[in-house]
Amino acid sequence: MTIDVYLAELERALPWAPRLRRRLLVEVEDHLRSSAEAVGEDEAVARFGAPADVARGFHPAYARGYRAAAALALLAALVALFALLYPVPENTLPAAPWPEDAKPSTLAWKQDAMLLLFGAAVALGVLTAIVRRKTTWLTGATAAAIIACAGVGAALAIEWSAAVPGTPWLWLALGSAVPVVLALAATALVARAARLASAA
Amino acid sequence: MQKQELKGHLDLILLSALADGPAHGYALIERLRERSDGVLTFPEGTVYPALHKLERQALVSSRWVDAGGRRRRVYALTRRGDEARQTRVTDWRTFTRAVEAVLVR
Repeated sequence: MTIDVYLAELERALPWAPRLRRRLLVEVEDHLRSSAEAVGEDEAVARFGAPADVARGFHPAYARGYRAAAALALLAALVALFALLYPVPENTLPAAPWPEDAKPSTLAWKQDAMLLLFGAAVALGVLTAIVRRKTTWLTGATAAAIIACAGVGAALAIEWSAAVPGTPWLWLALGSAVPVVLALAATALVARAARLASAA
Repeated sequence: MQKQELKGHLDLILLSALADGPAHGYALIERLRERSDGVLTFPEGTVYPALHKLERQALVSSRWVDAGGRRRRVYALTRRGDEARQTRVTDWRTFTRAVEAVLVR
């Protein structure tokens, strides 16, 4: 096998993470070309080990990277959710035509549910960061709370627009998709990290 | 030597090889081969995950250098890495003395 073919196979075997993959491929190429100067390409490649085995050696490093990316995605999802809960409605919604203590119950309970689900998502997120075990399960639970909160938020935006003309419900509903996408991405990353760690 | 036997000691072996001075992966393997009279041989690709792990633990540092038009990653022992190496060498000597004493009895 030539060095170029070997590098192409290794690139295919390595999980997706552009920066780490690029560094590994440059390091491996330098190693193989140095070795080939002494023993020839075939022997250099044979001594290095099968691409799949070499890639497997890096699985723990990739898994750590995926978990870090998942933590960032969860944090971003929580920030986006908080924005939907307070600053965005506060600054974009027209004044409600009812007194503060006479809010329609169908809207009031949805607001309460959003706050409750947001609190649960934050608590689960903190637990995920502290416990560092059952990470896949805890991330999934955090993501579920975020998605439920955003879902209630989207429904609330639509209902609110019916009660308060001028509410930008479409933007609010679309905004709810941001934390959902981030939460789903975090779950997928953590699940991938778990698969890589178990296959290392 | 068996791959599994080596795997458990690869960190210490690499730290000790780096105690002679900074080196890139291939040079490290050559250094190990020479110092062990060819006994320490293993799939060369296994060295890189170990080096990356040691770097993450701040026991080695690394930087890119230009090597005749090729980019090359050169690793060096950190102060913390040298301390860890000395501790592990002491532990290893204690362990091998104990095993030797049992074996020769």
